[in-house]
Amino acid sequence: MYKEREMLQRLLDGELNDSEREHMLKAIDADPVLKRDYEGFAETILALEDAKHPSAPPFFTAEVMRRLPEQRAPFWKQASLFLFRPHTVRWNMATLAFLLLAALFASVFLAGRGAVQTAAPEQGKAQAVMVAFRLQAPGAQSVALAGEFNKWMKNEILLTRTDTGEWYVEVPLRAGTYAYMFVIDGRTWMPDPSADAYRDDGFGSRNSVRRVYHL
Amino acid sequence: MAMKKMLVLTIAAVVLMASAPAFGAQAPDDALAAVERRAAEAGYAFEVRTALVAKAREALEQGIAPEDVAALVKKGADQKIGGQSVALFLSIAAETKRQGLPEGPVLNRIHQGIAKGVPSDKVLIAAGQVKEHLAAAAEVVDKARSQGLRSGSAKERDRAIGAAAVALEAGFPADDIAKIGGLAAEKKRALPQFARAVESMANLNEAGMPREMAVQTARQFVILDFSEKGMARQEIEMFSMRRSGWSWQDAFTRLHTGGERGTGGMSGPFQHESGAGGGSGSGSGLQRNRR
Amino acid sequence: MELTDEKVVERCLQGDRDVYSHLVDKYQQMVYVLAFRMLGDEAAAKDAAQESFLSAYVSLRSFRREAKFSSWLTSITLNKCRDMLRGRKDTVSVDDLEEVLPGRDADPEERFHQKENEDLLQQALNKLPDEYREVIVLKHIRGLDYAEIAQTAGVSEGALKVRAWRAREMLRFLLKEGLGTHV
Repeated sequence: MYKEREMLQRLLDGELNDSEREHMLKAIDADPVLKRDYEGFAETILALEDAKHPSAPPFFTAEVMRRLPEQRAPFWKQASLFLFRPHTVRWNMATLAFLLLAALFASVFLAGRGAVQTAAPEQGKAQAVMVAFRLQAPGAQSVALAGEFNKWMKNEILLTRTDTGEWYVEVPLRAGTYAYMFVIDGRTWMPDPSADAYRDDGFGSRNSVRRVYHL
Repeated sequence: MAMKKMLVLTIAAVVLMASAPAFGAQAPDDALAAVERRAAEAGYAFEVRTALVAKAREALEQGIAPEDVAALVKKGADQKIGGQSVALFLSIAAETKRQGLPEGPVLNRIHQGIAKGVPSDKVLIAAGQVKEHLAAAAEVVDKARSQGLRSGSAKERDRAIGAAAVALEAGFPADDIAKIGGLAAEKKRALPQFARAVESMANLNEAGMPREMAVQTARQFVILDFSEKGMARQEIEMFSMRRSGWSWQDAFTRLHTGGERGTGGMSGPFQHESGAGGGSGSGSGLQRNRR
Repeated sequence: MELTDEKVVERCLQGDRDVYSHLVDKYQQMVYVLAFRMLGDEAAAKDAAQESFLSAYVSLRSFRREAKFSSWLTSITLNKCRDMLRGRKDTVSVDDLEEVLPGRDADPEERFHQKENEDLLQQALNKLPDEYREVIVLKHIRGLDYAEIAQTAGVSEGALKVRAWRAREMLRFLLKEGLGTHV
């Protein structure tokens, strides 16, 4: 039964070869339940594939072109792009030697300044992803984000106000569940209306919770 | 091109040298010096300063990271908390560490309390409660490890304890968590898998899934030998179904009938070799005339 | 000489801003339909589509030439839609928070009944979990194969097929019985 269901889905995806397909179509004709299922799915898929879609609104291109930024990114942005964009660097033995020398120099330089502690190696999965936080607070003068990811510092991660009056920031976070709150004007602690969940903060109030996945 | 390459290499070398000091954590002596300086700046009395530095030293000796010690003292001073209270905060963190528990959650609660302007005595009580939960969680985790859970590094143990402590704080009975631990041990699962299952349990419950069903889901994850990512994926799909109006019961039953399973986490009922004619084209393979 | 997507991108990067309109003209329908089917709302779809083109322009430099421009644009659009779907949960202002918090989980279906004149197919699509809708829209409306969807959506092919399977089951149910109407 399970096998048949799988074959049915593969048939619908066009993933069967000719003989499998032939075989499956025969099986469908012979089995009324399977036939009903097949027709049901086929109808669903055709409804999707034949659906009439609305057209893009008039003056779409003109509007996009009007909103396009005037100039290319400013210098600092281009510089940061250059620094952080992946580059293909061709190397040879001389390059390698140069880099090794630089590393050696760095370590000697540091050894002179005292013991060097190396950071604990992170697990492979502990990569950070950029997570967006946003808040509608048109009346606020400043909005900060404080939570488990920054020792609850209330003046460290500042949101910026967008044209629409929305406050916005992106923060690199590793997979996990984080309690946090917004701090309005440096004083008022405010939960996030769009949090994934809410959790007791241990002091009689409730924190917002954001779940971050890294799949 | 050659210019560009030289530039990239030079930048790489400069970044390497410049960032090297950042790899090393703050040295303990530096941290103590910072504590003394902060204490003086905060205007603490001489005896208070001495006590504070002594507690800071004790915390460092227990293995609390220098930057954590320094950050706590700085925050205390910034928020005009009395030196004695800051010393007590350091003391409870050191005690947590001394008992072989992860101090992170305790420090976190303290930081949060201070930042929110909670009175010091209440912060101390809250930190104490976190420590109690961690101790109870450690008991559960260590028992499961002794029963055959494939135990990993100290870091993995800390994480499992942290996850169990969060579940305890959310109101899950220790017994329920212990049973999941026992099951994971019996099935010879790895410690991080147990930790992730407990995290899923707490996450799902926090999002509204009834507690008993959340426990069953975690057990199911363990039985099916889901990878950590596999559990995360299931969790996401359950939330997603819920948001779209399906009941928790629906999400629960549906996801248990043909999810992704296996430690690889990527295999599913449709995992197959795409043999001859297997390459799926665009859209479906339906012929219009069969309509 | 035909102006290929790659050529247009190159000229944009050299500072010719106007030539970008070729790409907007060419792909607006594709982007708009994807956004509409994902968001189920014409106004939101217009915003998402425009934002997608703007984002693409701003980050043209990160476009890798080995990929197709249309695929890259599709994944940008998809991300915009995801952002908007996420944000949709929070269209309340901070002042309303107290009222909102307790009942947040109470009636997730409500938003689907707000728009009366939506077609049945879209209503059914709206009821699918976002991830399921994504794969179904990309597969059967945008017409991509699983390998392309895997690249665009950042999910493994195996997982996508499972989602497609479940999504079709749900959709079939919704179209037949769930919405009380036959297609």
